[in-house]
Amino acid sequence: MKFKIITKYVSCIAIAAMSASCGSSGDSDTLTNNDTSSVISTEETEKAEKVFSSIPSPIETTTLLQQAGAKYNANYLNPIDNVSKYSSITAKALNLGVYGSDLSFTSIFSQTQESMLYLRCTNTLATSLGISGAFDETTTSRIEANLENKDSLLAIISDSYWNSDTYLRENGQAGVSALIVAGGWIEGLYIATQIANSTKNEVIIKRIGEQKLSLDNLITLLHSYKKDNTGITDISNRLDELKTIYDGIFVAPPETTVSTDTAKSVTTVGNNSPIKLTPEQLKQITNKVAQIRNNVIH
Amino acid sequence: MKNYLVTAIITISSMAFFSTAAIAQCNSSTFIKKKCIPKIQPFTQSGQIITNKLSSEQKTELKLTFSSGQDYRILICSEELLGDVSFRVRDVMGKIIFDSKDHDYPDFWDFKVISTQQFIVDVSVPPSDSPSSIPPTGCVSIIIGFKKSL
Repeated sequence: MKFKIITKYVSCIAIAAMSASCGSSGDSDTLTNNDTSSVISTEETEKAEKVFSSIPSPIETTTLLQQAGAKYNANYLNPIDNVSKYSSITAKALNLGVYGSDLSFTSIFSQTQESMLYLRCTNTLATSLGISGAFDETTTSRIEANLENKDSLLAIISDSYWNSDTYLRENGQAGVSALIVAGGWIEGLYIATQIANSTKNEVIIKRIGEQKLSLDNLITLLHSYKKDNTGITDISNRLDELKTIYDGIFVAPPETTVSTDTAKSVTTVGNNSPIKLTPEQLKQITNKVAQIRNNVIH
Repeated sequence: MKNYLVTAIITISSMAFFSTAAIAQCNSSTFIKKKCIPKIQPFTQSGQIITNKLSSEQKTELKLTFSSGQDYRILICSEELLGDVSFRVRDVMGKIIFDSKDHDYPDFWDFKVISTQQFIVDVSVPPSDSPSSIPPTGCVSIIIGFKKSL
């Protein structure tokens, strides 16, 4: 087992080295008018600037899965060997999100060796996208120094997400950041559906239903950057198909309640419109997200 | 004439440089890391931080999902020159859940969520008291932290 992990580790480093050695020329080939970084118009950027939508990060999503009683299973993750397949900016960005989600999953379940493997893969793709200050050697060193401290690990991964998002926004590539977010969300939902179907865990099934809200936000985010961009348009169209299934889930307009325990200074908010999935809807979502994810990782 | 041209080029170049520097500074990790991230503890920051450059009387909003069984902190981190930046939280039906103006302008709000729902966070910069005709402009970040409800 140990040898297998070391082999994977070396494999990923080798892939990283190969990517580094031939990265720049390959990247320039993919910087077409249809790719993400060069096509976000000023008008779209300005419109998107003041009103934002956000979706739960992979850290939060995988934390919820663990709290719901999920167990670690490496078979749910994108194999690290796939990292060499991604040549376009769109594929790299989506799979940086996918591997970032997998890294969150391995870290939350304290799979330290696997975490290092997935960190190398995120490092490879982030470097290839020209993102500095995130998932880089400094991050690797910090993670290596905190392998046994899960809280620190999660904080470092959160920092990396934020650093990559900041870097891309500062450099006029917010669309690439949106693709990373999309990849992470798709992988998180894929993992959740795999666990739900093998365990029938009611809490996880409920969490899958609740992704209806985040999916709407994600599609809004992608639509902000989809003009003249085949990469974003393609994933956005696929997610629209998933949204059609989610649209079949009835959710009553929420009536939010707020109560405050003044003695403890704690405010609690809730509403009366729980989201429930039927077995058929779960099956449809499972199949559709598997199809979308399969298209992303291959 | 040549001197005027040179002066104009230098002036425009300087404006472009300082403008770019100001925008870059707004998103820089220094501002957020030093001024904001420490305030999110003991929560785990979610990794999604929205930073925007705002002037007097400008607003920004963020729509996001909060999951049941979690405690959250909404933290608004702004530069002092902007004054008492306020924020309010409303549900998708428009009901105001929290308004920082009613609580002496705290920069964060902690709450428990018992059923998953979406909220919209509105952030507003107050009118400027400055006699200058140029309104102050500064960075405003919205940061979300989460932890499991006990």
